[in-house]
Amino acid sequence: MKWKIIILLAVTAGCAKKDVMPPIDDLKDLDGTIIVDSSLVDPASFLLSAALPSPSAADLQKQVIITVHGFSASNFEWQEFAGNMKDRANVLVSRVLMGGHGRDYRAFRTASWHDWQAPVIEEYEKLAAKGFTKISLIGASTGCPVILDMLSTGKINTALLNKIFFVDPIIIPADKNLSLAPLVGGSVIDYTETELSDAENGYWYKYRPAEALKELNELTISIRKKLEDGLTLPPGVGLYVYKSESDQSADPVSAVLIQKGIEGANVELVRSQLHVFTRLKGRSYTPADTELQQTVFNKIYSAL
Amino acid sequence: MRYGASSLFKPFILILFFLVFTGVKAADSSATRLNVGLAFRKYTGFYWVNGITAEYGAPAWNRKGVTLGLNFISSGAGSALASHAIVFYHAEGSFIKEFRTNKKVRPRALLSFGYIYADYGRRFEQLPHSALTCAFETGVSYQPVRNLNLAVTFGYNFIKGNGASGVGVIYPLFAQIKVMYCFQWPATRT
Repeated sequence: MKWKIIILLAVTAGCAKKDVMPPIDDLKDLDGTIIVDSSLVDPASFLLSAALPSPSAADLQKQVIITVHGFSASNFEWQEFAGNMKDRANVLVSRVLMGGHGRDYRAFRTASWHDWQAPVIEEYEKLAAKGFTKISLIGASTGCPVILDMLSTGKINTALLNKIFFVDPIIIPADKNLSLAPLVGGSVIDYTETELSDAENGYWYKYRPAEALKELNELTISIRKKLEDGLTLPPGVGLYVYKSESDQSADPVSAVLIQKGIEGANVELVRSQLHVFTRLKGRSYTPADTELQQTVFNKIYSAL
Repeated sequence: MRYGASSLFKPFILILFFLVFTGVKAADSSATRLNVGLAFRKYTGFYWVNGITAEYGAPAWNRKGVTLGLNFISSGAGSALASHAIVFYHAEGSFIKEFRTNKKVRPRALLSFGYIYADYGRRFEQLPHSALTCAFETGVSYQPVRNLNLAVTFGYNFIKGNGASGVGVIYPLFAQIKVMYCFQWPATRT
């Protein structure tokens, strides 16, 4: 009997909720409390709704693209795209920072995927209210299931939606251990660590809390099931998907599920080994990667 | 919907408790045995993959509790039935070791090797769509009457897809139930 009580106590202690924090360097890591995404300090440089409080009639005629970054990333992920589109006529880009992102570890840990999504819906609604009528959405990685959920649940007025673009959407993760997050997250594993290059440090969360991984798992499963049941695009809205053939974050099989699950989706596999191949800053890449990035930027612009 | 551990494992845990507290029954150790039936497999966070299964035990192996197993399962008979899920086929051979072989409830361990083929369609032919598989399973089998065997196991796939190599539909953890009809010869009375 005594032993049973001791074992029970040991198990209870083992299961008790701990507040384990990773070894965050506040001066270097986005996970810390000092460095934050620039859009939180200077929204007008990122969000169109903040940059153009009262858009002119000429502005309202322009195409608008709302960018949605990926899991643990920040607005940095779409910096090159925004720079590229800035040089082109008739198009405006609004870069949204997802909820729970670009802040600190605790904010990331406590945010649900609905929180990640909320600023995207908010920006879409603000632009719609201002009178923009040609709004497109572009997502990278986790940004893609976030967008698909908005469409499938009627969270936005799709009458104003023009086109949707996905770069390396994640429906099935490359690392299948994500599926174990609900079983081991918070008990066996508190967080995972990602290797970042010096140039990436400060723009991506280095530590991924188990709670956030569970949210990612839940979101991707939810969208996978919706794709399996079949999703319909709003009338007149085109979907263009560009997926790396080899991708150690979002399994390329994700592209198969989108093709099978959405009638009329234009899915293109591209030769790349980079996850979110449209972002090259801060990573080592080849001239072929640069060419691919520019080709896809051109294709996106042409499809608008 | 949330995917907690309890939602998947609760039924199996209940079944395990039920099995452990049931009675025992002697098995015939001199017979050749063939179990044939259906396998139902659910991956944690992924598909139902169902199909047919067989287990064969020669008299010489009986005392050691060793049998050979064969599975042919497909998501086409599971999650991809009447849906846009990916269809894949998985053939698997297993070495099965059972313990307490003279009882009704027998703990078992399996080491399986197999081959998986996923049908992504012609547009996605360049993606890796076939692979060898290797899995370890453990659980119990239960033979309440002479001709019926139920086996409940939890398994782990050692080889998984990782986005760059391997098949993207191989997930690590699964639970499986096999319902089998048992033949044995020479036929003996129980």
